[in-house]
Amino acid sequence: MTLLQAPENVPLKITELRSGIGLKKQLSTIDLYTSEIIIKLKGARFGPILIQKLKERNERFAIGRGIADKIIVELYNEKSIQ
Amino acid sequence: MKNQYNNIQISNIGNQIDTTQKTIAILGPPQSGKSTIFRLLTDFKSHGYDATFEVTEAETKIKNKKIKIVDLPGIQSLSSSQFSEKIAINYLLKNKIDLIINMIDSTNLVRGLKLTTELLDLGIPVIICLNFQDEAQKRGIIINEEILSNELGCPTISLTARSGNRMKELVNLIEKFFDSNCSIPKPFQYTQNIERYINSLEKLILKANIKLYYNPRFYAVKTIEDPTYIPELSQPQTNKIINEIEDKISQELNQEPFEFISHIRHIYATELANNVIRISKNKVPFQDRMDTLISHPIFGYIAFIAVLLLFFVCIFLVGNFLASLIDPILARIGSTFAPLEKSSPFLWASINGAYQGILGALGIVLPYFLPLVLFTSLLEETGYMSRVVLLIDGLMHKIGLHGKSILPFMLGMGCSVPALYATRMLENPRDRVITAILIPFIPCSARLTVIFALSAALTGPFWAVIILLYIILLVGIIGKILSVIMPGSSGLIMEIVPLKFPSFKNSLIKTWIKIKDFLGDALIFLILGGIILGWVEYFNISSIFDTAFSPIISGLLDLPEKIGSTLVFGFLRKELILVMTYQTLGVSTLSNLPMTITQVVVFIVFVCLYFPCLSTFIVLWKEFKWKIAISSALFSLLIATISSFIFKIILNLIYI
Repeated sequence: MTLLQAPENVPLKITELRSGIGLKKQLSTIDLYTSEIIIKLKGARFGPILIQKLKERNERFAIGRGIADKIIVELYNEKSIQ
Repeated sequence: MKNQYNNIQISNIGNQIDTTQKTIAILGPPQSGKSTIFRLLTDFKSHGYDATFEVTEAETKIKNKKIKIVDLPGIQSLSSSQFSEKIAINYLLKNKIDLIINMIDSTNLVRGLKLTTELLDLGIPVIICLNFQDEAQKRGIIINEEILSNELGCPTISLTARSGNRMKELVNLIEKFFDSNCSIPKPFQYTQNIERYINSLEKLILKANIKLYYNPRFYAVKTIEDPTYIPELSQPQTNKIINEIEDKISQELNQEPFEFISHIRHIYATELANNVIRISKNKVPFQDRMDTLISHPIFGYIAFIAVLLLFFVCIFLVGNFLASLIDPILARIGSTFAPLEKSSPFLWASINGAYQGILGALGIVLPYFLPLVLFTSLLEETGYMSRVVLLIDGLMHKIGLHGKSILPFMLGMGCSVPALYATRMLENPRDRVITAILIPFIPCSARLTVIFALSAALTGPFWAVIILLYIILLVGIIGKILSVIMPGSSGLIMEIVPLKFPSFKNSLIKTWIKIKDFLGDALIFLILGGIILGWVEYFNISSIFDTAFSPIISGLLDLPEKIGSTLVFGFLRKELILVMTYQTLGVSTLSNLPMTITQVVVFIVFVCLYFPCLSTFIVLWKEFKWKIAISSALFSLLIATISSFIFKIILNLIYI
């Protein structure tokens, strides 16, 4: 599933970045790589997706919906993060 | 304002003053406190803008040695493609830097340390400043400076730059550098196979005989990340070797080389941060609870509207209060040379012109400019702006831009010049151009002053709100049209920095710098403008300008023909319009202006939109070339005429 479709507040593992080098470079500036574990904090119908890294709670990033649709993720485990 | 830290007297080695100037660069991610440290180290010889999108240099003296301190725009990586970050990278690559002060936000250690791993490759001394110690403490974050320092081989200091805490110790560390006690840190180590390729590239770079300011290893790593990083290296033979290395790495790692290197650095930074950070309490700080509310999909918008309303109401109230304090004093001064009007009319025209300039600057502009600058600074300090990006992104997409463009727009409410520089934070050139064309339509502090002062004196706040709402709508419509003409918006990728309590002291310092800039720069403009207008009136040549503008001013908009000449002065500085308006119409206070409500509102709309000021026009030209600058200027004149004409028709219907 894409990050856009993924559920909120559960750990997600990035499995693929379906993008060209330009976007991959931009994503690397906020340290989004394949195998990174993230949590989608907000994904309302309108506006960008808000994510954070599982291990770095002080870091949060906003990603546009178009870009989030190019990030393929899978559920990392069943445990919900509150 | 004197910087106490530069007064520290240090023994002079051999009593000789070193004349070879050293350069210290302050580098770090955006909003890590670089400009605050810069101001403290350089006796506040800073520019007035809050966000740094330009290189700022200043000289200072430490240990009897002249040193140049350079404040660079915030960077996430030395490989960044973002316009503002490229400015910092280019400066670093084309100038010899002797010492780097690496600013890191203590509440966001991993991101800061990742950049540090890149700086280690440069092969020059680095001092690590872990800033926002106070915020880290509130979050229960304790960083072990000693372990971090030993691990990276760089002196490390935790401090809170905005309160000046531990600045003396930072100066001591800089002094140690001058005593040659500051060792060069070990470069960051990659995996064995990458190291092998780095070595081969290092040899290639050394053979190419290129002028290098830093360790060849740094250039080798960067060439692996981006084969075009050193343009001088681009020769058919070397390109072949570089491409072979790139292909081998991609095959071995099944990943793009830049991605692999960036990821290794990130993993190292994460592990290092985990080793040096101890969390003393696991409490959700107040700022984070506030953050949940102001970033909420529904409450966030309510909070945003409330913040904007509060912002403008406060400026309006504080501005009115300050104006009421200053006005009587200035009026008393004005009455002292009134007798000259009959005895020496030319002298009176000159003195009165200069007085009107001072009156405009101190009595009209300053009362509103001061709270505007202070409140904007306080708001920026909190990190609230990035939440606005989050909230507005969806709306901005409707006009073909993304949320980041709102930051230059909000800066534009202070001044269009830094706002135009702030477009450098946008990655996509198309987004930059559209944002830049829209910026002159955002009312800057000068135009807000015109709106506030004229509406406070003549129309009441209702029309001020209507005009502001109309401008927002107009920006939306123009943005939409431009995005249809220039399709291809890029998506948003943005870090949301943790919310912080604003430092009132730091905001006051920033306000003081801006007021100082304003008084030093605008006051002269206003006085000279006032004198010239006095002469224009005396020799009765204002009719030339009035006639030139009359088809629009009196013909189309039904405004007094005499105010046509004020628009010429408004091109120099928008604040001049206020002074010139009541000077040309021969009244002593705004409330006596012989204009109807309709005329005042139409005039405000025209003035707010009609042409960017001279400074904005020059920066537009500089940043986006003449075609954009001239098109933007003519376009705004057209929009101003149409908009004020629409207002005239509507108001004529209301006030029949």
